[in-house]
Amino acid sequence: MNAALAVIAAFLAFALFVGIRARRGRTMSLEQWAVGGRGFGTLLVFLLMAGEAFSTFTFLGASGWAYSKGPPAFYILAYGALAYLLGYWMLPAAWRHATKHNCVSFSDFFATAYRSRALGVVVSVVAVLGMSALLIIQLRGLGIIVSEASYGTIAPAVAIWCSAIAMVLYITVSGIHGSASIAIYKDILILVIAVFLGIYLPLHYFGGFGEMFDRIEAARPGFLEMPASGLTLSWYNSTILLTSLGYYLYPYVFTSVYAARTESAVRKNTILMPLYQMVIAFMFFVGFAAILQVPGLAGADSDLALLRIVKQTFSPWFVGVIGGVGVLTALVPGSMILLNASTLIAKNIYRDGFAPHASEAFVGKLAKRILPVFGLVAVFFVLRGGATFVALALFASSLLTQLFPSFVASLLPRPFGNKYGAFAGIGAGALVLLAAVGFDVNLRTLLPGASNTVASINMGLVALAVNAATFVAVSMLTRSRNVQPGILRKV
Amino acid sequence: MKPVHCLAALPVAAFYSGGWLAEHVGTRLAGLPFLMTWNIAWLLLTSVVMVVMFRFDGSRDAARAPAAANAANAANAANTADRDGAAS
Repeated sequence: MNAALAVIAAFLAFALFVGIRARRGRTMSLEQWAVGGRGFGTLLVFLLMAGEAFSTFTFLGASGWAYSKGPPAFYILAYGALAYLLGYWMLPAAWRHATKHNCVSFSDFFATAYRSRALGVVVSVVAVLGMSALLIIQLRGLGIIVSEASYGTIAPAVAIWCSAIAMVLYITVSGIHGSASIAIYKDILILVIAVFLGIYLPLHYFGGFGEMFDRIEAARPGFLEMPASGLTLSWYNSTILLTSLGYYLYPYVFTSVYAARTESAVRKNTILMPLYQMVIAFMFFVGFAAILQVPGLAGADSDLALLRIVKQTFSPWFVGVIGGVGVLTALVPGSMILLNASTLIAKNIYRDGFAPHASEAFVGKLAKRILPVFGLVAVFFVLRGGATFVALALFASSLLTQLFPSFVASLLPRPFGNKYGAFAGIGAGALVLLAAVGFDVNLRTLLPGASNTVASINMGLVALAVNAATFVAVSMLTRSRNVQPGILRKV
Repeated sequence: MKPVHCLAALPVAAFYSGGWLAEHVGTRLAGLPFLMTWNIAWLLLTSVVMVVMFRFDGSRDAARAPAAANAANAANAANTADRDGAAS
């Protein structure tokens, strides 16, 4: 047993302890369990949203992208800021709606906004599949972090089992309070670690930031410019647009809004989030430092850039700290996904779809039973592969962004659209995505004569445009069918 | 939308012009890749823009004096019932 291993184990034990203790003094109704009884202030909402938005992706992905792709990676900084700017208006409106209609799950929002249980069920199914993909990604990332940081002494499978069990335990006991209390430690730790590594590594290896980029430029001319093909400038701009619009449509990010006590807690949170996004800039520095220090990582291995340079630079106990923080970055979003997915399955798929008269208490109990099963299924797919299911789940997660037109239309001061438009729009967007993913259709194949600028526009954005146009057209055509647009006026 | 909300156009314009500027103005800024420095600066400025909007668009005052805000809302309820139902 080495020092790193002991430190990582201590982190996991600590998280389990904090997560279970978070239950103290609370009776767990479904509302308390799933959305913290809507009593969280600005700081806790901030930590929760930051906790979910900055997952293993921040840890491995951001540095890996800077390492392998260079400037296109900077889109991450841009879309976050624009998403929060949009959230300044969107989230308080969403909070008001959720509070008024007692929403506890993601699809409750759509079901109440469009007064359609069927829409709620469809959104739930997409959301559950989409979240499975994200949970699989988190668990896989966690396996990589632990096996690398423990110098190969812990197999990824063991790490995935241990942390999945820990998540299921503390989420079943404490619900969202468990995630929130771990998020506090995790956010502080990742902030400190990111800032430290992002400053220390460039100074240690290159003597400064400018020098580091000079040497990268000298070793790989043109790497610090936007590529002329592939991830081009129009890919960059269209991806910023697509991802900033879709940012809040990930169910576990969205439902943290419900936990807020006041509208202004939500709004203050959007003001703070761009500052926290700075963490990613420091992760980029780590990735850039790794280019010349640990060269040769290609493909999926580029995600290892951070851990490889850390292992080369520091002693094992510190590698253990970084591995431990990596575990926490997977635990917080992973547990929120488990919580949301099981609430969705119990409340929105089971009750709304099949048993409308089930009591709230029964649904709450059912959600807690489903949670370990869902966790087990996710672990199964991480360990066994199951490429078809994973492809389906990834497809569903890109489909979540397609909820944007119907989501935003219901928040407008004068709501627009109806359930027919919502169904048709989501369906049309899904078809375009399916063509893009399944049959490799893109703007280059559709428009053979198009310039590089047009051809590299993100297909997700094309799907979103088709979706929005269909939503508007169908809503206008079915307006005469005596369907009240938008939200219930009185409850 | 209040006039102060027009400030929100600044970050949007900045983030979308960043890539173009990087190609036409220079690839480096303050030692870092141009786009990185530009995006970091605008991350901070996006927060600043939102602070200014929060300070001047009335939502801060509404948060501080909920009672007064409720009274104001009640007074406006008659003519904005439609809007209110929509936004919530």
